[in-house]
Amino acid sequence: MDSEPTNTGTPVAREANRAPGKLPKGKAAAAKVGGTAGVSAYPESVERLISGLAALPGIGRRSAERLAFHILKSDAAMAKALAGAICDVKSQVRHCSICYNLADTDPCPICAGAVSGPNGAARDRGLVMVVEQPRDLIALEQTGMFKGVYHVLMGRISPLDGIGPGDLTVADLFVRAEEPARNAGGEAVREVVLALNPTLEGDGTALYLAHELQKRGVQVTRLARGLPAGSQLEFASKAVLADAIDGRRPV
Amino acid sequence: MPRAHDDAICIRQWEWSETSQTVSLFTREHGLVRALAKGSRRPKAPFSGGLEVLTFGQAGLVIRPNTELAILGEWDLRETFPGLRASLEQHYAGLYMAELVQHVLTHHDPHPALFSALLESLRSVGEPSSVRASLLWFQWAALSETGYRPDVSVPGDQAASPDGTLGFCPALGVVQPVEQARRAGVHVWPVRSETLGLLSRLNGELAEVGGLAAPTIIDRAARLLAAYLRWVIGREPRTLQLVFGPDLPV
Repeated sequence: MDSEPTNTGTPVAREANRAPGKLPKGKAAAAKVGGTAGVSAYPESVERLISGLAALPGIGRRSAERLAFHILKSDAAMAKALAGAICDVKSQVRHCSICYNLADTDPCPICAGAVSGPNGAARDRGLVMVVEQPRDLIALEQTGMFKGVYHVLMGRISPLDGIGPGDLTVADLFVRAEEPARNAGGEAVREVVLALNPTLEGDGTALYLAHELQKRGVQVTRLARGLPAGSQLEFASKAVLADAIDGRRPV
Repeated sequence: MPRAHDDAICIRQWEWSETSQTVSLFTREHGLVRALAKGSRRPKAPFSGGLEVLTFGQAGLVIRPNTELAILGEWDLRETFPGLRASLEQHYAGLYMAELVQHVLTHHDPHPALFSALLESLRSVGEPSSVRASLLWFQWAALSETGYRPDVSVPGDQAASPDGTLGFCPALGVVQPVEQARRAGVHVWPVRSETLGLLSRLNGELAEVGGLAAPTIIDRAARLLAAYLRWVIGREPRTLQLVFGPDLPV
């Protein structure tokens, strides 16, 4: 009498019981099928997918195998949508020619005024916030608190690593400050808010930008630093506490 | 492996992963140590909120004899030198000192006196009026500790040229009569006797340097030592021109 394949018994028995063409499930199965060293037991296309996923930051070989198996088990539409999204990102996303944010239009929706500020207010394009990376912009934008526009430096000045202002988009920021026609909406830059990471290099970059922008008659401010709201003193790190003491202000 | 606790100043830092860093530490008792700080960027890790360049703390290190990368298990932050973030001049001066340490020392070669000099200089740089004096004093300490301190005594038979300049030979690290050096084809930099006089009195405390000479003479002496250090290490530190400009003698 024929019996249905079962998922019980020893791993060897489970492997033997698996229906032809079916892939094993779970971490242990992925490791088993993939092997540990030498020639891969995966079909060539699966191996390519695993290698591609494993090249991503924060994804190791085992995680890549798990993701690959998830894709294999998913329906074709989901896999095609994922592949299409990856292709679109590479073909359509570019840097905004004004602020260097990542966008699929140029200028980006923020510079174009298509994305409103807090409470639906129009963007104040004379107020420019400078950040190091596009992901910093996204974090700030998600707060919904900033009503101005942005400028992404694409890094920070790091003399010890040989990274100077010429390696960043600093010159374009100065052009925006000097020529209103080159700023978003053709408005003159009135104030620049420096929202750089509070590291020594971030602070060095802020000092350099403040020095140069003040020569161009632009008001320069920077984000406050110290204790985050809702935190407790006893759990704050020494660096944060030192910043908070240094940046104390009258009440 | 036993964990060694040592005072340290972080002089370089690289991102290793989303949560870990590799760092170059200048420690008091172990010299320059490159270490992996696993999980140092996690909020609850024992690293006082992460390691940053030019901060002073106590490091808990596991140094294995035949391994290039030590393990940094903990970092107790003691001092952040806020003056280094006060102006570009102070900022670049601090970076230059950190870079100099990397150039003049080899790994695992302890120099407690130079460590103390760096610590004191970083504190002093926080005062805008002491930047040049700190740079001069620290460079002198670096040259002295590594055995390259120049002989700035003026030979009795040496005559200064009519404008008061003498000749400093970077290849030999000595003062030479300008005419004699020219005749022998030895490369010398013109140097004023007052600059040499200041250098010959530099063996005291950093706090005394400002009182030894006028700011312009202190600046001139700091620039001379910067040019000499560039000669000694055989390359130009990346931060050199940010601190001293492009006009150092070559």
